[in-house]
Amino acid sequence: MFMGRHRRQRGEPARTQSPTTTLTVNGEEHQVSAAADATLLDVLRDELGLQGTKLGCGRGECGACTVLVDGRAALACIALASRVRGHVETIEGLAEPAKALRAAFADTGAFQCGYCTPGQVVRAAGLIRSGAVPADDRDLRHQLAGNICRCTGYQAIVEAVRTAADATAAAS
Amino acid sequence: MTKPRVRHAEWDERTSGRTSYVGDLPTFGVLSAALLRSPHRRARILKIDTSAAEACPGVRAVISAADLPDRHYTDNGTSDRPALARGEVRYVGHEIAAIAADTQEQARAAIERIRVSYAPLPPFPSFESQLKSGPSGGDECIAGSLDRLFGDERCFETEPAIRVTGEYRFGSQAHACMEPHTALASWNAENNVLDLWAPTQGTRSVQRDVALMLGLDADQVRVHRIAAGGDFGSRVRPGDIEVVTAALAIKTQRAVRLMLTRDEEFAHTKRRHDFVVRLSTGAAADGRLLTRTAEILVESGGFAQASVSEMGYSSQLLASQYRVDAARIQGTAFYTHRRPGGSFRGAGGPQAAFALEVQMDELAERLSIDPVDLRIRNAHQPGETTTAGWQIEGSRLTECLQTARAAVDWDQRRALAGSGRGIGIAAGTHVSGVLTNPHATTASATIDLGADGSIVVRTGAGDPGTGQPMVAAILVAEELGVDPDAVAIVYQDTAETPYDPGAGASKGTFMTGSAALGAGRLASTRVRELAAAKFAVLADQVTLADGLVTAGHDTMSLGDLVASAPEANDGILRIHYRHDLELPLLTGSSGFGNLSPSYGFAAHAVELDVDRSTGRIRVHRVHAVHDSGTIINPTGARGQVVGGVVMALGAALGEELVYVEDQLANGSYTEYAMPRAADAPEVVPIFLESDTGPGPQGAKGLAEVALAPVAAAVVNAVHHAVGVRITDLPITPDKVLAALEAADPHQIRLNGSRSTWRRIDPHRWWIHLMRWAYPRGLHAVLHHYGTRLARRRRPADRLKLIPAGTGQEAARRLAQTPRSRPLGGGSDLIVARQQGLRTEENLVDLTGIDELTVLEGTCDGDLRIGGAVTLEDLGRFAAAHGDTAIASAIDTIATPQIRSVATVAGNLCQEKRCSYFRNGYPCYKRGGASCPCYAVLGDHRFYHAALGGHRCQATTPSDLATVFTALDAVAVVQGPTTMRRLPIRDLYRGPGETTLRNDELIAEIVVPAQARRRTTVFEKLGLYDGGFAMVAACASLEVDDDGAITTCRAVLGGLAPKPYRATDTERRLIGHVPTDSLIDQASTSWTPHADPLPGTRWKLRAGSNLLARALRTAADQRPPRTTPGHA
Repeated sequence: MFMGRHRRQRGEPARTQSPTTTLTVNGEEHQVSAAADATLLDVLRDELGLQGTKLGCGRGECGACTVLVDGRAALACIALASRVRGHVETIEGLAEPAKALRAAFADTGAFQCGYCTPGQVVRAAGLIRSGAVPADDRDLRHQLAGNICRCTGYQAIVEAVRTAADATAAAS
Repeated sequence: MTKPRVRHAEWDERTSGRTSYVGDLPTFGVLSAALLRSPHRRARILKIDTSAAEACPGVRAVISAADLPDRHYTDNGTSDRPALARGEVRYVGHEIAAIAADTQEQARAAIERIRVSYAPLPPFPSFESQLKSGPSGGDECIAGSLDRLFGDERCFETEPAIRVTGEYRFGSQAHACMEPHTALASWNAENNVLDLWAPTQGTRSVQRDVALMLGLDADQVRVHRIAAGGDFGSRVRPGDIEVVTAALAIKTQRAVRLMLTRDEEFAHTKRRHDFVVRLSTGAAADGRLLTRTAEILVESGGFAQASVSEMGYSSQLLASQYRVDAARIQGTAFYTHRRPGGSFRGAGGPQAAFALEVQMDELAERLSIDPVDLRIRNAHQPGETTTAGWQIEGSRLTECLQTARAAVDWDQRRALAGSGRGIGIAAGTHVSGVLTNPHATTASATIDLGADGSIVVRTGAGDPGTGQPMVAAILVAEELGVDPDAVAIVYQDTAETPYDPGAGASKGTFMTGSAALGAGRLASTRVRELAAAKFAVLADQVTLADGLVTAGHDTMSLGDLVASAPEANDGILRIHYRHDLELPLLTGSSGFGNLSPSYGFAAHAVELDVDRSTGRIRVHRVHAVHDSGTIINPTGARGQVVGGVVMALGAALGEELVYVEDQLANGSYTEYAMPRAADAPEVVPIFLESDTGPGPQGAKGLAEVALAPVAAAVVNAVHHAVGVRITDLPITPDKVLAALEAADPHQIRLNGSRSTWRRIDPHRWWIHLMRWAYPRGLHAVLHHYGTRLARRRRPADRLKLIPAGTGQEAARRLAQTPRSRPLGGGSDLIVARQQGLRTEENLVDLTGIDELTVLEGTCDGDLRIGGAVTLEDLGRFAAAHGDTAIASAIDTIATPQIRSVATVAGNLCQEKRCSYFRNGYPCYKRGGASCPCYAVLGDHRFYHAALGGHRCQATTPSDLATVFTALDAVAVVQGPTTMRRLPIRDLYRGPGETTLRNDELIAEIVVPAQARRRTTVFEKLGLYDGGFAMVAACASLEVDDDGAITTCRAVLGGLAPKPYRATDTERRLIGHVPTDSLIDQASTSWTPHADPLPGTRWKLRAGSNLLARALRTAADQRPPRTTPGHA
């Protein structure tokens, strides 16, 4: 189920037998196939070509596929695309607004292999934007606990999120 | 001399999701591959019939061993593994055949059609039996052995003043890379070249081995640059998917991709070998180490795969980490029928260091010497040669130890032993590359200087997070007087870069850096020569800075100078440098000799707390002091140290691959307890730099030595905190509590019921009879024969979503639609479908139904919680309205992402978390009465029952069920025609199994006002932040004006098949003022009802203590809160 269907070319009609549903992603509305068991991750990666969202486990355990749905962090790998009603934001949509956060990731060394990084950035960007970054580092770590990283030991991620959150707070 | 921190060259791509991994490459026209794996642990393959599979739609090729050259992976010396099983399968999951088809579904469907006839062979003895009863099974089950004497044998003739002996086990750890193994290959028939996209830190070793396995020349394999989502040794050599993918590509003449699922990633890729070191050290009374003997026992798995070389490295380290007159090291690596292990960060070093460094503390204790002093007393000094022949040219180990000691205020705090808070120190030593084969001792780098001013460094190194190409760029930039970001990096691709040996054995910075530095110096020299000629000055009068070349008043840009170079070609001046280690190779089996050009050292100080009540260990801080020479890339170096420490803490405290029937039982991130952000401590890296060593600017390797001291420092700190020394990793709460109990003769043993046969209780007799019979043949009979009668579950069909407008309509839909089930957030149901636990295809969607999301306090003070309310919403509401037990329970459940979709009803109705049930074992609950419960003889310590277990030993995993039981909550159950009220205590009939009918759903949960007015406290013990409850306790108290308890609920979760109300505890407390001693007594009074399995007995202690803590906190929180608010 994770293999790529080829990305539909512009103008090419959707296969008529499969119904479509409307999905708003990064501010744009898309008509996407609505096979009931297609996950949001399948649709984002294979149909819309948004491959920044990663498949780590396919079971909602690791956080590599984190996206925002109406501002809340959600796991695209276990969300059925046809049930997603809200506005989906992926790393592609958040990369520019979260540039300062990403730069902080670079400065602290908050990524190594990079595979979990889009999910980490999306989760952190959602927290920062909603002003929900806890003041205490231990609480912040608890808020970031849904995104597993095997490389960094998390410390640099926490530092980066703290740096970016403080900068955002100072600017507003 | 500390260098500035620089950003990774690819930071923008890697943080914005634009970096491509193999799974991101275009798939149009690419075939999908799947593997057939052995269900047997050991069997002869009589016949493989692929005809039915070949006839399946979409299938383009089927291959088995017969389609491949008869070759074995080179694998660090012991070469025994073919790419696909040849004649015999040797482990569960052994790859037998592979299929390439148009789609993944077609490939997987066709795999099912391959018919293999097996003749089972007698299995080898298990590793546990090899440990227990001594080696058995003969030579055929030995992958390798060694018997090495370092130093003078006569040293053993004198008995030392003191001798300490112990057994130290460093269990099997998963690499658990975030990117599951994926490879893509295509055959370029025009050039006879295989194009391969295989993420790795060892590009050339993959190229070499793939070529060897397929009978190609190395230059017929092009390994392309592709991002690697983690390596840690798992992909430094091919061995899981690369060769098979390539063979399918050659056979089909098409591009083929093979991508493992997370299940396969855990169960069927390399892992760290299970290591046991039996170590004995003799010392003089003054603390000088004299002799050491060791027996290393290694569990290889089905093939040797690095186990023999890692055992060899362990043997050398055991004789090298400290001065010792002589060391006799024996070792045996045993074949078993588990998935073969493989290279893992540290490569036998952390296992040896663990044994050594725990034993150093034991020695220090016996000698009454400070453990750090003992280490310093025996630390190697620069210029010394170790007993195993390592030439330590530079070592700051002594300073590392002193720095670590100062960092934790050792002298002050060490005096406070037994306080529950502990500090521990341990050291580590590791190579910077090994002088064992010619491939590892040479590296090259190329610099292209462009007439346009560009600087490009080419290195064959990969970058799975190690940042090697950054090291190259930083060194080249320095030589040429530019910022690192002015140097472009071309790396990894074998067609575009010169030879680099890769990052194994901590040689990345050493080798790649040496090559880059050499190339940079050559380039700098050549530029100066050109400028000298141009400006008519001496070369040493030329300076390079900011891309300008200057001599006196003359200045020109680097680009213009390059354009004038006579040897420039198309505007490119190419400088190539090859770095060779001119050192003798260490060959032969003695193991004696200099192993590495340079050695790195570290000393770590760990600060932690041990919770005596639950056995939980919380590490607060790790000071990681490293002698790694010059730190070239500070950001990368810090990252390697912090990440290495946390990875080793995982092995020390939770990570453990559990096998039952030689099949992996805990292959998922929820079951395999890896540290999450909240579990990881603060890590303080401290680098004691020096630039005198033979590495580039004196740099040494550091990413592996960062793991070496950690586990021993933890064990030593735990000993300091509570006085017990646990030498069998990981140190999980069960082991801590067992050790504390064993160390305290006054503590009353909680054993559960001892009067099974005296009480008239046929059910209990039956359970005990079964448990008695399981190890005496019943399990074997049920496993081998009973499971053949298991009911077959049909595979889950494509699901259909059924909308509903109201709860009643939803219930009607459930009644009308066969094979239907309500769907809440889907965080369990969607997963359970994948796991084959739920096969209903018609899912009635509850999330759009307004009435199911009611969340309010009524005017009576009741709390109404709609079944489809998310945990996040309930948690926020509960926190705001004083329902703190609900809020705190929710805060411990899973992750923020899960809590934002998971519903209250879904949490209550989730399937049990038994890993056998979840992971495809044909168990009693999956297969029916003829099947065994695998937990009885398997690992059952964490998620199985200690009370009321039946044929199934699982527990109800819902924490909300525990809290709601304590709050006398009532479920309002919606049926197709009626609603009924069902007390939560009647909701469950078994572990994670409800009494709801198929056409019913939980419309809401009502927490009565009276219960809300009580003081309720929830406590939980999980293996990691967000993990399921091993034990949970909820106490709910009402106290009268005199302080006496009038109402009490004491509920335990994770302990019994259903949330367990400890009514004996409640009775003991009601009517009394809760004193500490009364609470302590009352909290254990339920334990006589328990009938734990051997591994769950610890839960009686943990459950009692957790319950006591909850009761005490609740009692202390008087007076109870005011009237519940309503919203």
